[in-house]
Amino acid sequence: MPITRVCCLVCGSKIEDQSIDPPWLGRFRVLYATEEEPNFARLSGLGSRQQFSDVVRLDAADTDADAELVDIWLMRTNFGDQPLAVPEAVDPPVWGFPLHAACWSIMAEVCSPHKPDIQLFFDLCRSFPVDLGILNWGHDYAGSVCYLVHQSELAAGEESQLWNTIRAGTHRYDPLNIPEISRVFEHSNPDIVDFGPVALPRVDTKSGYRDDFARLPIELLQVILTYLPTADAGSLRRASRIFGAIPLHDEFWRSRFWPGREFDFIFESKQYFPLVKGRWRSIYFSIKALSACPPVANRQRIWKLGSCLWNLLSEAQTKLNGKLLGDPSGSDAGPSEPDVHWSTASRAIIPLNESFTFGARVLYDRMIPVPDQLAALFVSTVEIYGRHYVSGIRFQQRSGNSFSLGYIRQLQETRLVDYQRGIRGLSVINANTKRRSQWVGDSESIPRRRLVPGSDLRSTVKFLKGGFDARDDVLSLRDSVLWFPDVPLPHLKFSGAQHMKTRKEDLPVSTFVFGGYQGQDLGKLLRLTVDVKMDDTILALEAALSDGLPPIRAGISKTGKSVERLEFEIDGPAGERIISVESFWIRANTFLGFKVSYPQLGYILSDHH
Amino acid sequence: MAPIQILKLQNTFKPGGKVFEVERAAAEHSGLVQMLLQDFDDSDLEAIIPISVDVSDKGLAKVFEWMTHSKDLPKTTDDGSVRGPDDSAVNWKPLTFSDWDKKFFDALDSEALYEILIAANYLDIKPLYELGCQFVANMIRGKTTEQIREILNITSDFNPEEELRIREQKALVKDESETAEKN
Repeated sequence: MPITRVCCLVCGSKIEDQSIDPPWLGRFRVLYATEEEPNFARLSGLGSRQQFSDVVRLDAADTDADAELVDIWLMRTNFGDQPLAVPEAVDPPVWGFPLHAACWSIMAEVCSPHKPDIQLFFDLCRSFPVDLGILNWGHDYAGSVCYLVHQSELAAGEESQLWNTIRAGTHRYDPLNIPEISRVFEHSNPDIVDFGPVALPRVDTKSGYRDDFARLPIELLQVILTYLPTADAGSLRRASRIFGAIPLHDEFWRSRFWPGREFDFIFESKQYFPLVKGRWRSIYFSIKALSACPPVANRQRIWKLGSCLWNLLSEAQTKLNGKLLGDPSGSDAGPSEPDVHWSTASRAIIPLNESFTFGARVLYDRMIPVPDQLAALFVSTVEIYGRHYVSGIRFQQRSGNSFSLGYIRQLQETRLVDYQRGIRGLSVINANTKRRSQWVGDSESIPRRRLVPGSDLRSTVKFLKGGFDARDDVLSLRDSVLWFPDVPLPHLKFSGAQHMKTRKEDLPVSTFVFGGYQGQDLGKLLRLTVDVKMDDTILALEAALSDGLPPIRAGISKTGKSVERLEFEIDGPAGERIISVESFWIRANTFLGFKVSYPQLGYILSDHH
Repeated sequence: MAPIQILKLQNTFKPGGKVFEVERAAAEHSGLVQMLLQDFDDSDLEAIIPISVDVSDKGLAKVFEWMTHSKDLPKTTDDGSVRGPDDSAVNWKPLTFSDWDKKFFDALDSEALYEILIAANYLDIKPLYELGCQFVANMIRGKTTEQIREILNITSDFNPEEELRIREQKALVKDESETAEKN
């Protein structure tokens, strides 16, 4: 049994050794590159997991037992010197990302009639962190893995690492070779449906019934039904007596197996379709009866995961705009970066020589000088597993000329801001494919540093980096840390918070103002509430106000036995005012608690440490 | 003599139909026109080509507008995939509307939409009737029965007996709907 754990990049289930039952879990291929050619990705033949190492046949066509096996480093996270490596140990010269042979075959069906671009696929894998042998795409592989901290306990901007695989019964069933499906196609019976001429019901306009579909030829009505998902076709047939009278044609049932439809993952339908004409209705119902059986359910799960990956790959094929700055992997050195001051908006960029288990890694830099005479700035975004990330920027000059950086998708573009003043330079560092970014700039021109809601310490693959003019030479706290939800107003001062600049995790800071920016509402403060978890972690702070004003809250909303709510009454209307706040720390990044003082009644509010 | 580039088409379904002049490249979207062009030589084509379909000149004008705008599109899909329900629809994918197509269909009232569907079917303009059907399907997607009636201007006159019959017939589809919803 292998001493390390690696999981399939498509389905998230463990890749086992060859003695495992079921055998498909032990049959895998690898998207790999070699030390000599780190930017030339290939697909391997079948590999094998052994106790202390993993081996693979380098040629994708090699599946026979005689082909040469080469040592391979699966789910590599570190590309620099390894201080902890045993001196005599030699790293394998080949490294890559494994996936079950069955999952690869399903991917190929998902992509059909196209073929996935292996280099792009590999670069995509390189752009996401690996937690404990699991590639962290930002999803839980449809329930196949769990997170170290549950998603509901994360505050905005935080992300959890993956923790463990879940042994779900259905996930062990071979998703590729399902004899039950073939049996349905091979033994289906002809449908007993009369497809002869159809008489549509007469529409008696005198009765007040109106249905303009009565005017359409029946072929068109059938096409419309075919284009609809099954549930919607049902609704339409209930809504219109014309549609209700049409027998559901063979083509209607077959269209349920088209790409993007209910049973698109039953790809056997393509193989059998010329042979089963007139039987699609019975096939549909037989497959439906099978859909809960474990191998079919597992196929469907992996198909969905594969479809998401294919969408990501398709998106990444967009042309990357801008001048190449140089590939940090070293093999493709472009022109050097101009000697200017950059103020970066990037978060958690992990250097190549550090373990890549969270955050993001830069694969390619792009840079353009920002043109003058700017009329407008457009930002392109992309959705990755339900979150939106910035993918590119387009500058438009008053003359109408455009200059683009990154991936530009005009249909998804948002006009961000009209520039009145110049920007010296803007550069996008991106990880070849998917991207998330914060915007750094003058908050008078661009009010929020966060461009897109939902972005956070996610496994990002593309960042924007802004080079601005001399005003950025000295960065205040306001300009150097992340804020959620909004960057605070310029006149707010943050005493004693300078250490936040150096925090490695780079989590966002929240501010909330309960007394009004001029202090005019300080007299309305009634209560401070602190939600504390069992381990003394503060989850949330809330200020309750008088005059029916809604409470102001920062943090995670969570209730339950594990959460203790501490309430501290402050009689604002009677004149009580907070005069100081002290915070207690062990080292710069471990927060213990805080104390709020307000003198009139002498209460002390503190975390219960 | 150069081949005729402008065709004259007239709807003779009712007397007094307007004579439309349509570019030949645009008119060739129509399977019916293509068939007629094969049967006639150019001297015949100087005359008016009669068509007969129960739509208004206004509806026909919209059809010719679409044909003229799309005259440079391939007359059959050239990537080998077929966009509609066809025996070779293995690689079917949902139809995508160009910006122009979207504006074109969005601007139609339901009467014009029905007329375009009828005319596109009669003239055998596959891309247009597929787009039209997809447009109708998109309007219906995700809507309740009552919403569909409202959108498509259908009044319900099912008497209880009919309701029962249709419900029985539809038990099947309802069953499917539930499965689909679960998915």
